[in-house]
Amino acid sequence: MPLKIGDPAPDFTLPSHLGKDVTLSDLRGKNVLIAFFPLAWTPV
Amino acid sequence: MASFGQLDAQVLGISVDSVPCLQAWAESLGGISYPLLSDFWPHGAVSRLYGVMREEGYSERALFLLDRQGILRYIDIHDITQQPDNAAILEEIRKMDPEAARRAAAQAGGSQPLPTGGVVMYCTRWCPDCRMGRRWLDQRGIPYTEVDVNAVPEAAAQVRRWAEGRLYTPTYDINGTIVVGNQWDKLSELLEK
Repeated sequence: MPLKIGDPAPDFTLPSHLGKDVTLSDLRGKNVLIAFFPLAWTPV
Repeated sequence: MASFGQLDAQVLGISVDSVPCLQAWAESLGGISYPLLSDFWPHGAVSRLYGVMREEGYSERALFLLDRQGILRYIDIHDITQQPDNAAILEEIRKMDPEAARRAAAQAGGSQPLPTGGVVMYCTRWCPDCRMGRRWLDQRGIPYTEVDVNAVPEAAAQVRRWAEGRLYTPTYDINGTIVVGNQWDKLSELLEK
């Protein structure tokens, strides 16, 4: 089922290019913009 | 990305690239201050979780805006070839969090005017056409000012007014004459005056 407005954002932990892992739920209390992009190095 | 910070918004980029690839890419762009997250292994797991994984093995270009409680407040899955429009996203954050918007507005105390006079190139750091434009100007020894439409919301809005609603880069302002895209003939003509 696709996500819709009003749903809780699914939590995840991913490694970051800045060296540390980022866990979404750690950012509770801040506004968060998640920007998926297709591939580095390409303007796709 | 300063404007996001002012609205108390953390930006996270996510792609299916590996960490070393993201690091090299960020470095090539002069460094990226917000985290680029690697959804490389299990390949695209988070992209799938958010329903934006494509059959080709990489994700859509998609934005998800979360409020302070972690609730989705805005979802935009847009044309894969189109650049995200920071001005529009900032507006969504302002709508979602009017309190932060008021604070940011109070701090800013009015925005800076866009540069005018001479050659002004509205561009992004990564677009290949912008790179070609820089090279073309450099080869002819023509001085120019760059405005990053991803960093300056007013610039993005201005380009949209000039380019029939599209955030087209590069767009040139040459002493007040607007040229949308690398129209070399037109640019040559204007610059030879």
